[in-house]
Amino acid sequence: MTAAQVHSVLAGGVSDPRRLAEWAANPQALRALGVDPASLDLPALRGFAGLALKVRHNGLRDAFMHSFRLLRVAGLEIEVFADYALARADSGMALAATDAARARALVDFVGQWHDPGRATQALLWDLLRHEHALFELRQPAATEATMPVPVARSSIAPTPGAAMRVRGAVRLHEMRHDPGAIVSALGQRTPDLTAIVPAPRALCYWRPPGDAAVSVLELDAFGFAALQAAEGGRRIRELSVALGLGARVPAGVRALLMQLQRAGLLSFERQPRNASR
Amino acid sequence: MTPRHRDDPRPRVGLAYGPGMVEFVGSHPGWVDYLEIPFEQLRHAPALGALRDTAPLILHCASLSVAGFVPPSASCIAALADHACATGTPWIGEHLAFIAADALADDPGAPPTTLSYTVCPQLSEQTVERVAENLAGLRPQLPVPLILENPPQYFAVPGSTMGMSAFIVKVVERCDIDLLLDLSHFLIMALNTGVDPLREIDRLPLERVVEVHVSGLNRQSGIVWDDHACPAPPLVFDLLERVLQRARPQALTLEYNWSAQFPPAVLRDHIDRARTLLHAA
Repeated sequence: MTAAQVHSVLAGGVSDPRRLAEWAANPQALRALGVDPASLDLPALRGFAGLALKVRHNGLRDAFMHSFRLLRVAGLEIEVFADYALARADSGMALAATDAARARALVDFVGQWHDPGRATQALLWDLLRHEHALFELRQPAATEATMPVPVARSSIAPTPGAAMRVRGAVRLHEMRHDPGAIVSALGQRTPDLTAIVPAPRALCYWRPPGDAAVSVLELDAFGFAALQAAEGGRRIRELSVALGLGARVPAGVRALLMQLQRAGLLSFERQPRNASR
Repeated sequence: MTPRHRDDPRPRVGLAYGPGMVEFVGSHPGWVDYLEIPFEQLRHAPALGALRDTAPLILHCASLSVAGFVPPSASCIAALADHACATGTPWIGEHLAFIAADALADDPGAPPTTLSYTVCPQLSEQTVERVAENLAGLRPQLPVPLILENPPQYFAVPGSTMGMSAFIVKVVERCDIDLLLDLSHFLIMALNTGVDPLREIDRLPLERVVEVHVSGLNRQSGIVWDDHACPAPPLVFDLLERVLQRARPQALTLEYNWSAQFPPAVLRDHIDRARTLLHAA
């Protein structure tokens, strides 16, 4: 085992963690590279690959400070980033150049990776999406790109044929826990994550047009469905059908939509009968 | 805390450059004697050199692969020399580690593998000789001395024939070089390899320590890892006291440079503790 051979193996394993799994399954491959398989702690090297990748996400620590604290408190830091390193190698994905793109990719990965049945992983998934929604909506360029409502156009009454529009930018998430409760628990000197009980809720992260502040609104099932439909630019009639209420939009639905209109979240636009969405 | 005069000969306390640190220096006149700045960031963003107007700079480096078998490029060394002159750094701290290695033998023709993070080398006579060869080539090209930083060790490196302390002793003897003693790396190594840190530290050539690093550490997945986002544990300061019984470092750098959320109150406390210990020695 020359030092140069050992260094090549260490660097090769860290840069492409798929090799670590190959060497674990086939120790002879490692021996062929000049390294005694019994002398190499493959799980530790996998953890080191995770550490190296974690450090490259330090730029996200400000925006995701609670998620990083949760990762640490739950003992998931190395595990998550080691698995992420492997997933990235599998996909051939290069590390994104911007914090925004790194954040998006990390959230996408955790979405695939987490097991909702494992309490700390479920907490991480909720908290990560919470902080990501706030992070994205606080990026002016990204927010402006999602503002669909022309300033000059005024909102009409919620008639069945009207198209729904979100005013400003929103991110919609169905959470299993109250992110505020997770943040509060993490603020303790010794956080007790087991004390955070599931509390499912539908949240709307909203940045109104022309406003720098982001509000977090708790929605009922109808409000959540209406905003999801509005994000897709759908007509009120389509929403009503999707909710199983038929094409003749009930008065109650219109009343609820008017509440969202008064709150400033939704506007309604007249659309030609065959207008594309 | 009273501002100190720039000619004060006592050991200096500085901060590793990172999020929030420049702001801390600006809002705490007299608390911080210098900023330690990574060469790699300076090379990527030369405008950072203007930080010299904020505080004296010490240059840190992770590109030379002094314990490796793939040398840095001539342009890298030239840039390091240029930045050493421009910053006025008194020395360059470099890891006793490698950051690049030859491609694997089963991938002939592939370029060397370059990592984003330095790796603890094989701790062997062969590596000691390699360090000596590398330093012999590097030192004449640099305008200031290189000092070597002990790496954190997370696992046994295959083929190693000695422990970290013995390796450092041999490198210092063979290369006649001073040290940047990272106490957190040292503690990480001790905890991960099962040696008593307070006994093991005495085996190092502490009289060669020019600079000390202090940062946090974090046990995850059964291993203790380097962590510049959390405060150093009390044992790191115990080690510092022990080191100062024999060593007279010129500088101590607090490496809390991974997160802008690092609490300023803890930073102030650690600066005070470090300065008090250094001045009492």
